[in-house]
Amino acid sequence: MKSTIYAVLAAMLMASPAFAHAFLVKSDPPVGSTVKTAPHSLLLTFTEGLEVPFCSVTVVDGMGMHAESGKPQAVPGHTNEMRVPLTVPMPGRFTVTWHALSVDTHRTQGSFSFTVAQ
Amino acid sequence: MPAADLDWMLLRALARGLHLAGSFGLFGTMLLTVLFVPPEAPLLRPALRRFALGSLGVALAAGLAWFLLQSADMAGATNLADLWQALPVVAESTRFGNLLIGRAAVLLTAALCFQFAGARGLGAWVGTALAALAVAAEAWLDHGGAMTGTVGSVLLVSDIVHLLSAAAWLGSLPALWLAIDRLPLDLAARIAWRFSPYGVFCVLGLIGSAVVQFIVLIGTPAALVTTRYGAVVLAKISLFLLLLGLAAANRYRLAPALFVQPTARAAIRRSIGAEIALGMAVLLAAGLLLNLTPPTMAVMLQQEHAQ
Repeated sequence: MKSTIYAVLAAMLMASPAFAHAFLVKSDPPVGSTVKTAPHSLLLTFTEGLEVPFCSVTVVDGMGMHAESGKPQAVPGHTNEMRVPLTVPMPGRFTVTWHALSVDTHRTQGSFSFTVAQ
Repeated sequence: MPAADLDWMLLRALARGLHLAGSFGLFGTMLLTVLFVPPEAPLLRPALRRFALGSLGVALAAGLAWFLLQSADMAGATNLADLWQALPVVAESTRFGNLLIGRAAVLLTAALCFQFAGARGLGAWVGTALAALAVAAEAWLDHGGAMTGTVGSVLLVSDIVHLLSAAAWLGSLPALWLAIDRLPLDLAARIAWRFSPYGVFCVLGLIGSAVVQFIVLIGTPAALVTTRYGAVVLAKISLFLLLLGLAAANRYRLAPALFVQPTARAAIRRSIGAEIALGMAVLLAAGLLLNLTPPTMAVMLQQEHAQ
C-alpha cells in the first residue's frame, strides 16, 4: 500500500508539465517547417480533448489570402486532434492561428507558421 | 480580462456554484436520511422531502442558467440568435452539454426515489447512489476530467473524492439542522453525536484531495499570493478553517451538551446555520475557481501566446 502511494506521488511530482487546457502538441505540417509539396490539410494535435464545433483555425499567406477551405473537422478516434482542409494556390509562408475549446470548456489560442517551398 | 467578460464569468461562476449547492443539498439530505434518521421520525421526513425538492429545484434552475451562459461563451455569441443556434450543438455534441443534461435526468430520478421510496429501503439507497453519481460527474468537467495521462487520472480521482466529501458534509448540514430542530431532544442529540465522526471522515477526504490539487494545479505556495486563482484558494481555505472551528465546537461542546441541556438545541442550531452559510460561500468560491486558470497552466498559456 505504501509503495503504491509513493509511486502515485512520484508520478505526480515528476510528470510535469500538467495540462488542464488544450495546448498544441504538434502539427502536420510541423510548426516552423518548410515542406516541398503543398499540403491538402492541416492536422493539429492538442494535449487534451477538443470540442471541435467550437474550435476555429485560419491559415493565411503573406498576401492575407485564406488557405483554409473549410471548418475544422474532428478526427475519428482522436478526440485531441482536428483537421483543417487546405487549398494552397502558390508557395509561400503561411500563418496558422488557432482557437481551441477543450472539453472542460476552457479556451486557448495560439499561432505559428510553416512554409511551402518554391 | 475586459469588464464585460468578467461580469459574464462571474455569472457563470454563480450559476455553477448554485448548481453544485443544489446537487450537494439533494445528495447530502438523502445520505443523512439513510444513515442517521431513525424510522420513528414522522415529523422530520416531510421536512426533509421538501428540502430535497427545493435542492433539486435549485440544481435544475441553476444548471439551466449555467447551460445557457456557458453555451453563449463557447459559441462567442453576441446576441440571442447566436445563442439559439449554438444550443443544439452544445447539447448534442459537447461533453459539457451531454453531461449537464444527463446529470439533470439522474438528479430528477434520485429525487423521485427519495420522494416515493421507503426511508431506508432499497429505493432510498438507489436514489442516494444516483445522487452521488450526479455529484461525482462534475469531476469530468473539471481539470482532472480534461487532462491526460497519469496526472490526469490522479487529479480526476482526487476531484471525485473532493466532490463527494464536500457534498456528504456540507450537503447534509441543512438536513442535520432540520433533524435537530424537529426531533425530540434525545434523538436530536444522538444524531448530532453520530454526525461528528462522519464529518471527520469527510474532512479527511477534503484535505487529502486538496493536497493533490495543490500539487498539480498550484505548484508553489508563492502562487497562492501572486495569482488570482491563489487568492480564491486562500479565501476558500480561510472559509474551510472557520467551518472546521464550528464543527469542532459542535463535536466537543454543543453535541455533548445536547444530551443534558435542552437550551443547547438553540446554540447548535445557530452553529449549524453558520456552517451552512460558510458552506454556501465555499461553493460559490469553488464555482469561481473552476472558471479561472490554475497557476501551473497560466505559465503555459503565456508561453503559447509568446510563440
